[in-house]
Amino acid sequence: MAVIETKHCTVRYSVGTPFEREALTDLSVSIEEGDFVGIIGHTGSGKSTFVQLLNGLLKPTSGTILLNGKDIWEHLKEIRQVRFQVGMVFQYPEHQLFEETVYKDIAFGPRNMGLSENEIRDRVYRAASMVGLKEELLEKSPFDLSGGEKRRAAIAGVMAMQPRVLILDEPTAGLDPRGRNQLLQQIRAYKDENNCTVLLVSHSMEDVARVADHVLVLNSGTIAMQGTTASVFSRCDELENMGLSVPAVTKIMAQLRRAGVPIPDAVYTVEQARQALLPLLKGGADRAV
Amino acid sequence: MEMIEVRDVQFRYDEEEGSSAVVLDGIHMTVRKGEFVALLGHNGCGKSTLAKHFNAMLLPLGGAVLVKDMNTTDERHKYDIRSTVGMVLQNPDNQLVSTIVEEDVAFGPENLGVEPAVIRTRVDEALKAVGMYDYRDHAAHKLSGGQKQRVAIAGVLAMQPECIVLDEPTAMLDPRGRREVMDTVCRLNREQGITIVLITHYMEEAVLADRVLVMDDGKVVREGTPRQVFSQVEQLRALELDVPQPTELCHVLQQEGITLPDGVLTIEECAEALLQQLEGYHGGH
Repeated sequence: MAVIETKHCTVRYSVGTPFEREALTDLSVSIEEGDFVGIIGHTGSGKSTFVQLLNGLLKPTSGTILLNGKDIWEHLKEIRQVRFQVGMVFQYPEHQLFEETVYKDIAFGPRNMGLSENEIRDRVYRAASMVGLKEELLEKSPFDLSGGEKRRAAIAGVMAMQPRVLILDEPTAGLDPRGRNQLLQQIRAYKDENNCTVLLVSHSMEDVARVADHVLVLNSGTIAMQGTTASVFSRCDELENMGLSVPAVTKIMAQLRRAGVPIPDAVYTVEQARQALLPLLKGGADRAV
Repeated sequence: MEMIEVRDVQFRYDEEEGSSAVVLDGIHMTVRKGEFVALLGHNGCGKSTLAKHFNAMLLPLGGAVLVKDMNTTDERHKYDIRSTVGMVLQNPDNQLVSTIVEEDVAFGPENLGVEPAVIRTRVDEALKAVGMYDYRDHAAHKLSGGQKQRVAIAGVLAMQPECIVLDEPTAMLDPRGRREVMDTVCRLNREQGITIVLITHYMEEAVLADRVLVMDDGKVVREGTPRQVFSQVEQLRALELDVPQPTELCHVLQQEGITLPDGVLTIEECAEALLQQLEGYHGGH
């Protein structure tokens, strides 16, 4: 079942001024419950506008957004509930830390939801362990944490609200390779444990390839491609033309395929490449003998 | 004379609570004139702190940093050092100061007291060098990330530095923006002989450098050509770093007993090495 749907959504900025610009054009898309969707597109393709529609931070110029089948703008007063159900982690979320302690910062969202102190406590600890923040850090000032820890604390603050849909905009930007891998695994684990839906906006094709089940490609305010990670990354040339790219292993496999090596389409991680190549390479050695 | 020479540099940030850890712990390194050096290391290893020593934004507590033999602690050289080594940082939005592209690029030379007519030529040349000349009268805040970052590079170029230090200049950019910035950096290095120090978490960018330095815990722990450094896959993993995907693929296949060359770096090299092993298929089927 679709958890979020946009129907014919168009967004124009600066309407009625010389700077009027259409950021999204007649966008209809449906996100299935429990899906892990990677959203890619070059700068200015409409990714951020799109995700801001989904939790009611932006109102479409025309069109509707359905959350669990209900128009989110139908009752203006209920928009706050929509934001509890669709949690958003912005780019560089650590810039938004503000409380005296990490605990209070993570507790801010759950507290606003009117939960009991016990429930809040529970959620703070669970979210902190989810993102790998040690308990002793909870009583520290968020400003005493390292950059990576701050990022985790900020993400935990949104996870603690246990939204049905979690949207993350470039959560790994600026992290080192290990931090990147850990955080992606933790987000994936969070999704699997809570059985919720995750939308990951990223410029890193390798990141998307590693964790997403489906990929949504935006280009000049419209959906250019939508499908399984394998089907989207098999359209290498089209992606390149849109200023995007495919993971390096996918390009290597494409070159081998052009040389006549029978490589399946769906190779976009190093592990998949290993599995595709080993039988061929070992088989080749046997023939040589 | 080296462009930058770092001798046994010690540094820590003074914190009120006295918990200040050592950030740089006896760094030795040099950057030669005209060289393209990539600086790698996990978050918190001291890369950015070291970079800020290259143009006297930070001063060492022990040891010395020499820029073309000028000691950064010598107040009299500060001006010369800053006009020799320019800096480009991660977030383009924090570096643009004017609303119009060409005004932004002119900001640096204006502050240096350069003649207006000379500023005009320098701004034009700098914008042409980064491929942003056609955008000279555009609003800076409406550019894409890659374009903004190239304008930031032009702003540094207009001050005619001999060396540019870039601290994760592509962290916020999409693939095209990343390519635009890296193409520009490589061109400035090859065509204009500008010395480049690039800090990055993207291994495929480090591959473009002449030499790679890897930092860990305030020290330089590996140094060599990209091929030398990246062929040590396990060592890099231990330092919490990655290798480029083509290198990783060859590595995992080698572990399965497949014979492949060490230190494969690029997509082309990897495809070629694999094709040689797969000869049966080469042109065959």
